[in-house]
Amino acid sequence: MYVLKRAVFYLSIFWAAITLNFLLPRMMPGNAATAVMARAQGQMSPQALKALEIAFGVSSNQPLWHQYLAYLWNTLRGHFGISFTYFPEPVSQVIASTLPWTLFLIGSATIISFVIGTGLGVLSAWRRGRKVADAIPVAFTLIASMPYFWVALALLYVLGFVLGWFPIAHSFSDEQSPGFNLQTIGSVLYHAALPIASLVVTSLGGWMLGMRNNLISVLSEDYITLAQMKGLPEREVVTNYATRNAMLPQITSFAMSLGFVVGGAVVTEIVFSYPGIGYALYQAVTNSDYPLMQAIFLIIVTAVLIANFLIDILYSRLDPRVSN
Amino acid sequence: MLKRHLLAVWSLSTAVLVLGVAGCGTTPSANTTAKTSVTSNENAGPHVGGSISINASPHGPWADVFNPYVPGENQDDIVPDIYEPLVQWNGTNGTDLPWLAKSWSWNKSKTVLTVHLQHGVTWSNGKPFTSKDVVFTMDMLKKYPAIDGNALWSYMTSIKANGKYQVQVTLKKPNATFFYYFSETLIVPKFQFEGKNPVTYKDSHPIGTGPYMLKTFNSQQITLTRNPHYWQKGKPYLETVYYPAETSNESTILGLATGKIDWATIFSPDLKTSFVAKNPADYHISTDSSGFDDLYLNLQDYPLNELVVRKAISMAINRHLLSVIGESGYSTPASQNGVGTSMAAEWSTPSLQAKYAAVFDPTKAKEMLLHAGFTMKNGVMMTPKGQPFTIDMDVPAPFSDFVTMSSQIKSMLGAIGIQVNEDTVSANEYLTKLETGDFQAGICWTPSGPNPYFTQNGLMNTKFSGPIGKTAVGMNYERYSNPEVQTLSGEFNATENPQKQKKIIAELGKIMATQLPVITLLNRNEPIEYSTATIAGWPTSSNPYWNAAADSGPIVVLTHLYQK
Repeated sequence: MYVLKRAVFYLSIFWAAITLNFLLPRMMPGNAATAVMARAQGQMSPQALKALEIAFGVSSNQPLWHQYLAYLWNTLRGHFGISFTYFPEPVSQVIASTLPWTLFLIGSATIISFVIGTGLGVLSAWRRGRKVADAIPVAFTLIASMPYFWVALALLYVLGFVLGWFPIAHSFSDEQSPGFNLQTIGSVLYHAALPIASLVVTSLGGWMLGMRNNLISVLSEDYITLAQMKGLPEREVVTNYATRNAMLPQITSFAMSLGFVVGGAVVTEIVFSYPGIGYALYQAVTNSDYPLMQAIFLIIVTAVLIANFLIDILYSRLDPRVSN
Repeated sequence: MLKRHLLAVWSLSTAVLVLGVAGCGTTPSANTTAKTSVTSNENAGPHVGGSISINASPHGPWADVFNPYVPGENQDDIVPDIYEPLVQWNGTNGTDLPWLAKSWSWNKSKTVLTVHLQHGVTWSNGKPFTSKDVVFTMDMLKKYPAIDGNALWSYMTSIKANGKYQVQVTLKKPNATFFYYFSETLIVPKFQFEGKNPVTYKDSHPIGTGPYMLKTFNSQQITLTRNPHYWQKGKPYLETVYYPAETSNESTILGLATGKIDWATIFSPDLKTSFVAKNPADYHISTDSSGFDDLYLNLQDYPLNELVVRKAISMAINRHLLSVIGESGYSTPASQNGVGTSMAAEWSTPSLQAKYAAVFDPTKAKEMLLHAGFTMKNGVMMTPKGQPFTIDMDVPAPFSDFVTMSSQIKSMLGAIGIQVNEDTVSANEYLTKLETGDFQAGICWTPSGPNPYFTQNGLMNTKFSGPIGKTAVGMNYERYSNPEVQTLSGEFNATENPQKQKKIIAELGKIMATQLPVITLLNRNEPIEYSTATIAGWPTSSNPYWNAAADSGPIVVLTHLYQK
C-alpha cells in the first residue's frame, strides 16, 4: 500500500516535470534557426534564416495545446524527434552516443568520491583532536571552496600540458578505432583519469564533512557510551555501531547524486573535451534545440525520481515507522 | 565562426595560467610532445604523404552527417573538403578562382549565365562529373526551399544542361550578388542524392569531387584520406587530414601549442604568449577578414533617428581602444564607407579611405549635440524634449569581444553625458531582438561578400529590412530606408563593368559615411593559427596566393600544403 501511494505520488510529480519541460524551452526567446545564425556569426548569408526555419519547422503555427498533446504522445512512445544541433540526427542517437560516456565518467567519479570521502570522514571524526585528523577537513574544505573550473583547468594545464603526463582531451586515443579490447580499455581509463581526479578532488570535501558531522553526533549518543563502557573494542564501536547509524543520511544523498549522474557535468566535459551528455545539453540550450533539451531533461527527471523512489522503498524496509 | 569568443571565461583563466607560469620563469616543455619533425628539408618540394590536423572551430562530438545542405558543424568545416563549388572565393579580398567551372559568361542584359565546366572531373567512386549533377543540385534546391539557404531561386527562373560540360542559367532580372551565391554552392552527385529527401538525408558515406574522402568516423575525430581520382592531377599532397573535436578554444590552443593541431581559426586574447611563443620559428598567426563589427542603432527611435546624434555618437567612440581592448588588435579601426582595409586596394582609393576614416573627438561630439538643442544638466545630456538621453544596449553574453566593446562604448558615451544601459542577454535572444527591431543599440557583424557592395547593400537596402516586430529579411536591422540606395543597387545589378561598379560603391560609401545608418566600428578580422613545423606550402606575405582561414572553404590552401 505504501509503495503504491509513493508510486502515484511520483507519477504525478513526473507529469508536472514533463509539462514544465515542455513549457520552459518555449518561453525562452529566439528559436533554433536564429541560434544557427548566431552561431555562424555572419558566415552565412542573411537569407539563410528563412530556409532554416522551414527545415526545422519552427515557423509552424500549431496551437500550443496541440503541440503539448503531440509532445506527451511522443514522449510516452519514446519518440524524441530530430536534434536541431546535430541535424538531422535523431535525438535518441545523440543520447545513445553521449550518455554511456557520462555514466562512466561521472558515475565512477561519484562512487570514488563517496567511498574515499566517507572513509576520510569516519577517520577524521573518530580520530578528532589529533593533528592529521583535524587537518583533513580544513584541507578539503579549502579545495572544495575553489571554483571547480579553476581546479579542472589547473589540473589540465599542469598535469596534461606542462608535464604531459595525461592526455588533454577526448575519451580515448584518437589513433584508435574503438573496439572492446584491452588496449581500448586502457586508453579509456587513461583519458578518464584527469577528469575523474578533478571531480573527486572537488567533491570529496562534501562527503567527508557530511560523514564527519553525522558520526560526531552519533558518537555522543548514549548507546555508544554504553558500548564503550561495556568494554567493546573501540574499532568495533565505531564501525559496527556508530558508522552504520551515521551512514543513513550519507546513503540518501549518495542515491540522489547517482540520480543526477545522468545530467553530466557540463564544465568537466567542456574543459576536457569529453564527449558526454553534459556538453550535448549545453549545446542544446545555446542552440534552442528543444527536442534534445527535452529528452535530456526527461532523462534527468526520470533518473532522479527513480532514485528517490528506490530510497523511499529502502527506507520503509530499514525503518518501518516511515510507512505509517 | 562562432568559434571565436564562446567560453570566454575559460579563455581568460587559461590566459591567467599561462601568464602565471611564464611569470615564474618556467619554460613549459611543450615542444617535447610535439610531432617529431622529419629531418627538415624544405627543398623536398611537394610530394604525396604526411598528415595534418585541423580544428576550424570548437564544437562538441561530431555527427556522421556529411550532407552539405543541413546546418551543422561538419558542414562548415569538413564538407568543403569533400564536395566542391563551381568557383572558389577568397573571403578576404574577394578574388575568385575557377574551380569546377572553367569559365563563365553573361549575355548582354545580364539575365542568362553560361557556365563551362572542367573536363575530366570524376566523383571519388570514379563516375564522371557532368552538367547533369549541377542541374540536379540546383533543381533540388528549388524543390526544397528549406535547403536553399542563399535563396537562389528567388533570382533564377530556370537552369538547363547544354551537353555534358555546359550549364545555362536564366535569371528573373539582373542581380550582382547572384553569381557569388550560385557559384559557391557545393555540387552533389545525382546518383547519390536522387530520390532522397535532402533536408533530412545524413549522407554518412559521402561521394564528392573534392580532394579528400571520408576514411573513418568517430564522434571525437573525423579522418579524411586523399582522393586518388582527384581531378587536379598530383594533388592533394597530404595523405591524411584529421579533424579532432575540441570543445573549447582553450583545448584547441593547448593542442596547437603542443603541436597536435597544425591549423586552426580560434580567437584568444593572447595568442602571442599562449601559442607563438612556444615555438616562434614555426608557429604563426595570420588574419582573415569578413565585413565589419558595427554598432546598430534603431532608426525608428528618437533621438537615434537624428543624423546629428549618430554623428556625435560615432565621434565619441575611440575605435583604437575598441580594437586593442576588445579584439586584442586583430580587428582594426575601419573607415566609415563600408569598404574594408582588405578590399580598399581594389574598390576604393587611398584618398577616399582617408576622407572617410573615423574621427575621434568627444569634445566636438558634445558641442554638436549642444548646438542641436541638447542641454547638459548635472553632467547628463538632455534631449531637446527635456528627457535624459539614454540608450539601452543589448549585449550578447557569449561573445566576449562584444561584451568588452559594449562596456567600452558605455564609458565613451558616458563621457559626453549619454547614459548607456547594458542588457546582457543570450546570443539567441540578442539576435532575435536585432532581427525583429526590438532594440535600441547593439554591436553585431555585417553581411560580407567578394566586394563591398555586399556589405553596403546588405546593410542599407530596404529589401533586407522588415517592419518592427517582424523578422528582417536580411541585416538591415536598423531599418534604414533611402531611395537613393535602391537606385544605386539597381544600377549595380545591371553592370558588369568594374569601373562603373567601383563608382557605385563609392556612391554607396558616401551615403554610409555621411548618413551613418549604422556606426561602423572595426574591420572584422579573425586570427588564424598555423604551424610550419612539419607542413609547408602556406600562403606567405611574399606569396599570398589565398587567405589562410581554416574554416569557410579551406581547400585552396589545403591542396597546396605538403609534408616537409
